[in-house]
Amino acid sequence: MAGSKAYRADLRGEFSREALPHLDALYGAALHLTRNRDEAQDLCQEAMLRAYRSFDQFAAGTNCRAWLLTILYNVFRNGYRRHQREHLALAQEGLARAAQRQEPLSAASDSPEQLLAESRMEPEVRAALERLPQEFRGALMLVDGQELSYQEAAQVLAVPVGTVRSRLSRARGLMRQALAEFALQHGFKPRPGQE
Amino acid sequence: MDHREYIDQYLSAHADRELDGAELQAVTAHLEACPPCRAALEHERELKLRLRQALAPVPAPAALRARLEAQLDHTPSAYRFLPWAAALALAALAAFAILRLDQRHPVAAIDLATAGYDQALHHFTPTLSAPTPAALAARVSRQAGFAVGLWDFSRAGFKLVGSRIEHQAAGRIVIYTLYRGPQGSILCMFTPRAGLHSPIAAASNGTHHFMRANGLSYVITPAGSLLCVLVSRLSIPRMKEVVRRCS
Repeated sequence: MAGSKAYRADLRGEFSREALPHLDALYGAALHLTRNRDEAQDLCQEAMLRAYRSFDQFAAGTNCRAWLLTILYNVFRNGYRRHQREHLALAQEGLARAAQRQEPLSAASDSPEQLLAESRMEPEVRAALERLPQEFRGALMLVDGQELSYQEAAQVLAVPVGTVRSRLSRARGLMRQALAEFALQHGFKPRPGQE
Repeated sequence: MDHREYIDQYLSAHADRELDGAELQAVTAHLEACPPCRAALEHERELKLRLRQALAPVPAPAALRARLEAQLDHTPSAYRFLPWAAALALAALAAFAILRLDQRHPVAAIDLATAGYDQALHHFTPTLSAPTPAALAARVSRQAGFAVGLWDFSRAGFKLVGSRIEHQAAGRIVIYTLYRGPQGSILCMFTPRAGLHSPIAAASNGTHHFMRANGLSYVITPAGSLLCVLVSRLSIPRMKEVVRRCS
């Protein structure tokens, strides 16, 4: 039907304008979650397709990036749990095949260090980020990297806003400490106000 | 508040502009008397800048983009059934939108703003006026008893009409300011957030939330202890443009 095609074209166009510009942001978050380029691409693709299928649930004018990241994290959480269950079932059955299935996965995985090294970040920032617990790095990625508010980051992570605030506070504290140590090691004096 | 308390509990959220109300007042008072903490805040903002650069999204592979574009062309969207059952679907969507509005947006604030807009369309008698928004804001703030910063939409071609301060039930003060432009009017409402049903959190202070409902566009902005709501018949893209030009 001509009307249907025109309507779908409109919606497709709207999705292209609103959602697709955030693909880079989604891919960055997916890399952080999966630490593997192939899995990150699969995760992004699945999240984008789900977003398209439920585009009616997106409130026009609100933060589309936060909405997409929420879907991405949900897909990851659900997929991850399923993967964990499958892994457990196979282990309980004592199948040697389980070990074989895991091996290529880990061989294809990229270490966080590799992934971080490929970005254009300063070496001391990279080193400090590598030492952070993943949940702290994740909070920094959403608030500083993706520029989400605490409320939006809390929605994406499915945790209370207070948890986001405390993770960020502790993450930045550790970053300050690590960067100050780096500066001292390289002969720079800490500036007033720096710890 | 002392130096250690500020660093441990507030510095990070302060740099993120996520404090408001009593917390913001407390840290502002502390920083006025504590130069080391002011320096710490400056360094925290520098750290945020470095982190933003370090953690900025990386480009997605071109192959992923191409694969996705192709798949979208063959994926049914949420609205696919509409051409066959337009009336039914629109009714369902409208009901859904109202439901979501109830759950996710400050209903009381929207009602207040919508009532003010409807009234202003028929008749708007300013109780205060001044040649510029800044001068008007000073007069409004003095009379309302709290500081209000009024929008200046002159760059987008809107003329300031004036402000009305209304004292409603339960002691609520609502400030309506009307702007008229060639394509329509914008009503700006300020009211204290206390006692309002407002799921838009304090955390999003200063962020503009755009939404369309009741055939109107709304721009909701938490501003410290106040909530600002703009109402207009202009489209959301047009309102975004006006807000961007005049922010």
